[in-house]
Amino acid sequence: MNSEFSVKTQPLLQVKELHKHFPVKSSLGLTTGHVKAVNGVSFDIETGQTFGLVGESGCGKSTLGRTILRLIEPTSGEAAYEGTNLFALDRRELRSYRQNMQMVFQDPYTSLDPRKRVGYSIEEPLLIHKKGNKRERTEIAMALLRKVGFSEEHYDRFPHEFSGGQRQRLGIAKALALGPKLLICDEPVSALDVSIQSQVINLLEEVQEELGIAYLFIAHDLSVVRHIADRIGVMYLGEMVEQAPTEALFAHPLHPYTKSLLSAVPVPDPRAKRQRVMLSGEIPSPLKPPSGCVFHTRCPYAMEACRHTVPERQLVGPNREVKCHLYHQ
Amino acid sequence: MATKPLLEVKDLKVSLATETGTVVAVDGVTFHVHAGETLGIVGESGCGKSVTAESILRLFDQEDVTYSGQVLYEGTDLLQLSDRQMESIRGNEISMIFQDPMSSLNPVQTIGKQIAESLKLHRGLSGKQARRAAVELLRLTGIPSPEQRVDEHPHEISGGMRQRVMIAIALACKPKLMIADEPTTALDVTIQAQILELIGHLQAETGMGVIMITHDLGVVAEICARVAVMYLGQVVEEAGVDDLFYRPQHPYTIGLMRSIPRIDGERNRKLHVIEGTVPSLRHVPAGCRFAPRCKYADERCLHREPPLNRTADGHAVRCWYPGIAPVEEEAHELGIFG
Repeated sequence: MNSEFSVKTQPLLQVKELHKHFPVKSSLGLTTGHVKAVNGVSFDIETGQTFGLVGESGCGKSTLGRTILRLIEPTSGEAAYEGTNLFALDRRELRSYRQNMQMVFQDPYTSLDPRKRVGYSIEEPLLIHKKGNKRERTEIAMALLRKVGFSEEHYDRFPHEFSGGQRQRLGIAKALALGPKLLICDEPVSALDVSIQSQVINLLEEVQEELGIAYLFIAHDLSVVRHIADRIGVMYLGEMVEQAPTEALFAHPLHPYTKSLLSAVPVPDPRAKRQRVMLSGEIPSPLKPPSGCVFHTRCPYAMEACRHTVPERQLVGPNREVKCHLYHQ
Repeated sequence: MATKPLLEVKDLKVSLATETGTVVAVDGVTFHVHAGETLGIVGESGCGKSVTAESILRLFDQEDVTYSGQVLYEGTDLLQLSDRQMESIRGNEISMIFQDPMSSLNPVQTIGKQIAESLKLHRGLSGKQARRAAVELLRLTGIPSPEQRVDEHPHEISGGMRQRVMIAIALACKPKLMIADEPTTALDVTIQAQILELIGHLQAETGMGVIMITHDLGVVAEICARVAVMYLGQVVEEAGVDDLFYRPQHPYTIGLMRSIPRIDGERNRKLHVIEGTVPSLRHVPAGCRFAPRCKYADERCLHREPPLNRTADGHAVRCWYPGIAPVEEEAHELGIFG
């Protein structure tokens, strides 16, 4: 196993033992506890590949994405971009590294100023990073507009003149302006209708093929993530309970949570036979996560050990790992 | 099925008066639901699926809205009833659940009181009886420790729980028809699975009809017996669920099915794209409404509106050339992608 790892090239991004704990304050301003939104997550993103991050609301997947870019400051851990720990950089250094990593949000309105022409919004990152002169910036913006399926005449339009799917394509154009190597996409297609969703997914795939960009693709829709991701991490209550190459994860999910999550997705085929692993109850409050394995309160296979011992990350098979006592050797 | 349908919507047309003119949100919609049956209504935003549902219960402000056509519930046209008569239909005979339970729950009242309210109003129970019935309903919808939950407020419970409370309220008066408008869209998949199972289970027990409005073809395949596909205020295709998924006829239906990534099947296929966007209801295209986005449209489609044609096996399609678009497997064989 070790020899196999040593010949591997360095991943584009290496996240190690990332923790983000939010303090919970009482009405008097005293810290009464912590919400462990991200609790010791480790994974790699390879150059030009897509890492899918899935999990239900409140599992910490969005916080994880934002913490990597330091839109939220981490509590502890490491995120190494081409070997440089982003968490150790000062503000100025971080700014220059940010050119390599951009974010695409669920609601493109967060990145497009409603009062500015979209051409200007796309150029804005270039202006902030003092790239090129006015004419060169405009040229780049025009090229990006064409890349995401618009024509140059759209340069002078305002965001409200575009539909939701079109705005998302503009958001992607803006994210591409600085020539990043990594895009963190947080639910980029969740708000879109299915016929529009496929346009945006196809665009992301074309861009990746052409520019060799890596994606951290955060989504709750497992069908979409299965389609786009090379590798998937499954999160539950702040922990990554399983990660594996996409095909392997869907063919043989190992963690009981992954099994139930995959089996809960409705299949658009009335003849499909379903074997659903129903979960009882709901996700516990992250304020009071269960002792031992975080999933034990809902797990159909919970054993005595699960109630008090936290499972370790186990390597199981090529490139996959799981945090579960069932696979403890 | 020889029995009379529970609900028959015939040529329903809903016009909304707005500041900038009249908009026809639903234009000639026809469908029916039998007791014990689940009808799915699918479509994208703006197709009129929610307006259709809300029109059945006449939830809109009367002054701005004009209805035409018929909504026959057990033979009675709901559009002809007085407001007073309509009130006894709502909640009693037909009830509705929404995507966001918070918008229909009262935040300052305990959930028990809210369930009891409709029991007292519609079934004339006393306060004590109503409370006991409320606890039973909460238990029926799978809420743990209902005796305590009954005294909690909506903000104290999770989204999935709130949807269960909504269902409990909807079921309080044993309606014969339940209209569910995207009831699981805001929920996580594991919770969605629980809620869909609950609805199916309650339906089997009570024999009520269900109209399930959704954009999710997976949900449709899972729980519906028949499906109506809507586009820009009209039903473009209607068929039994197996028929619709295995022999879709309308280019829009086929396009929708091919554009979704699926949890089963080929992972790396390129997703189909339906070109263009849904036009505004203020600029409804002449001829077939889907024609401007349809690869197979010709002169006839652009100028003449196709009727909803129904074949002997009950499969209805609003298209001049039904079956012209290739379904996924055919497209694959022909080498047509995107």
